Amino acid sequence: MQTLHPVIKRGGLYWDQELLPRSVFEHRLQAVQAEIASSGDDAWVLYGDAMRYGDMAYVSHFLPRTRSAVALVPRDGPPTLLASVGARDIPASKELTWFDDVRPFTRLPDAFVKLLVERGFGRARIGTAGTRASLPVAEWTAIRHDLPNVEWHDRDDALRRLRATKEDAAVAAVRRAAAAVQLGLESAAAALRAGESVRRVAALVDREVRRQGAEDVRLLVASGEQAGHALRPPDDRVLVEGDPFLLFVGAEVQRYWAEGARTYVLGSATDELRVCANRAYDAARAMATAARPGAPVASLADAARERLGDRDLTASAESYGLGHGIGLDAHESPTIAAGAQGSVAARTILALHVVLHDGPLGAAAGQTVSVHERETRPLIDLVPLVECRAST
Amino acid sequence: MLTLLDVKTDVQRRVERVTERMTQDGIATLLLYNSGQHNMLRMDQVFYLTDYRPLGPTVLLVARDGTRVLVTSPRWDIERAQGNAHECRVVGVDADGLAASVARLARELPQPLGLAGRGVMPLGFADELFAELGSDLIDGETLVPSVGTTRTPVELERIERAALIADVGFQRLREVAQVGMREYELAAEVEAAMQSEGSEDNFGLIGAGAHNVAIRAPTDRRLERGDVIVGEITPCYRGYLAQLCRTFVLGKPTDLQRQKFDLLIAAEQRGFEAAMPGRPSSDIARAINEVIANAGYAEYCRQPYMRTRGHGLGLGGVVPYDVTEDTSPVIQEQMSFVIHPNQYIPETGYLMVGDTVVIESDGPRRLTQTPIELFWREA
Repeated sequence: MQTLHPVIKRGGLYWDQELLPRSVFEHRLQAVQAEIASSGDDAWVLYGDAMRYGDMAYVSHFLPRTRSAVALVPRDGPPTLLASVGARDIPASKELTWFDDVRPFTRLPDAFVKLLVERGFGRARIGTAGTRASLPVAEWTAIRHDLPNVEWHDRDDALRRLRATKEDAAVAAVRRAAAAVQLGLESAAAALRAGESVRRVAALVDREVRRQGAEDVRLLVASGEQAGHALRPPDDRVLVEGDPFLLFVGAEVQRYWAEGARTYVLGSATDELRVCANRAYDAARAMATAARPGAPVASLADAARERLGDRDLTASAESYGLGHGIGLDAHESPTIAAGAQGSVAARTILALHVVLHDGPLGAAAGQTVSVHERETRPLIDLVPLVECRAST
Repeated sequence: MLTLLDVKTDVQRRVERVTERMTQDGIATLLLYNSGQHNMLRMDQVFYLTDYRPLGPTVLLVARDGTRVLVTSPRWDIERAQGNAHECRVVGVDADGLAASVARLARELPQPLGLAGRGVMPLGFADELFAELGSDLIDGETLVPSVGTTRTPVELERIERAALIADVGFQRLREVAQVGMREYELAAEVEAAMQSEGSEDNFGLIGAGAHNVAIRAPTDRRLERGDVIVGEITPCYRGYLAQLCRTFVLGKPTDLQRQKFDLLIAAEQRGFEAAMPGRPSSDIARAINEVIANAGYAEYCRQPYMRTRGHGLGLGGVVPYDVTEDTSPVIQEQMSFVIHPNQYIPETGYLMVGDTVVIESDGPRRLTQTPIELFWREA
């Protein structure tokens, strides 16, 4: 789900080596270097920024809390990380990655060109990942200009294939993020009260998730009459009895994301709201049930559409998207949509959500699931509707 | 308290100043790109001209006659965009359709086109856009920042509110910091306190240790007796940031810590005295560095120990940019920025003090209200 990107990732920033030991990254490096060799490249450049860092973090575990970082992975030999930090920040930066060679940069083209020439890649065949989605064109233009003898090849697809399959450690990391999201969703039920502002409720949810060590937390809400319109960042609206409250929570822990969503009501739900919330819940549950290894990706969307039935409701839900892969990036492939190509692979993690608006009402239901060879495991509980006490 | 009408009028005046500059620069329509990735040290030009902070990649088209077309993603955020971006035509699109939509709309507007945002525009989007419109658009990168160097009443009110929220954040830090607490748990408390007061974002860094080398992000480290906790707290209120830097000792400070912190207080005071309208911002850095260098720490006033003695704060505006001895924008009335003589001292480690100010005719007025002192509490 698209959320408001912060000016900095300001939660707990560290490397939990029990959760994600160095050996995980050594194996990944070997896999990437094998791909580099099979593609005939001399090295790959993996670019990431604070918004989309997955390609770079896959091998490095480094997280740019703001701005960007680049991993240079040669076909043989040790990798190097360029990080957009000051020289004094290098000791703290090295705590986040297993790379020995971590260098600061102020202006990427200068540092990048210098590094490639130093490593003997001034005349080379270089694969790139993450550049088309994130690297600013001004920097790319300068780099290409200063490295006229480098032949560039887009390797987004090759790296995406490697990243799609989640190892046990990656699943464990998403599970940690999912646990934080679940706590956040549960804490909302206790915080929702008539007379309370949406902003204050969101602050309490945010605090609960950050207390679990989240690096980043994203919330979207819709309350009262907003439930019939759209999700949005928390605002100053004051809650009243009977309000529906839609909440989406995304959290990043140890670079891995998980997402969930629920519908709440302050007091008892009307029959109309219950029907609306059940529809979102049924559609989300149908997707989770359909998420099996080998299932066409489109079949998940079809399952949700069948439960939603009504064309307007379907259009409403599809405007948010019905889900996607999730992991090091908040939005990874596959994208779950009608007509989507491909099939669900084993050891994929999916974020499934149904957000819909129906007249003055709305509902949200979402969870993160881990697709294994023999079963699909929910990492966050899917709940039809949460009735909260309206007042203290 | 300013009204919605005040905000609309204020934004409209910003647009007028921009269109005047467009005429001077020979740009008939200015295309402003925002990636959805916000940054404390970069002006959000789309926000400045719409009062709308986008979730995803967004483009604002501004024609010389003042017509504005906001093309924003995701499309489901269109209602919020319409609610903020008054007098704008708003088009909601999916991110993968943004370039084509922008190109189509841009062709309907007066030519030639100017462009701002190449520095944050991803290669893939640029390829799509330039395939439609050509890549030889007039460089409009500095046009909006050049007319947004000083703060309007609406902007200033928001910065003042953000400054007070920063005070609340540091007060919360003082109240809850205790031995055994993880750094990220402390940061979570500060964050929640500020969000409850209206903060919608925060360039927040909180680190602790017996001897800090620099400010850093919070980790899973548990606070210990005698820790020096340094905080760079920068809440955002309705798109405007204010920053407070302070130091808190978990235990009674040593005489040496007090003495070195007094040095920073003196340096900040000298920085305030230099922050006068008409003087270059480099004077602030020189004044601060002189105090610290005279105490024997000249080499620690340079890289890699120190970078800047203050900076402008996005999203609405960033002039005077970094406050260093090498940069010298002229300080003007109604500029707002942070002055922070944060300093690594070999005997004590990194100490922080810094405040957001607005420049008035007789000098800076401090907007953050937290007393300028070394805070501490028995562990």
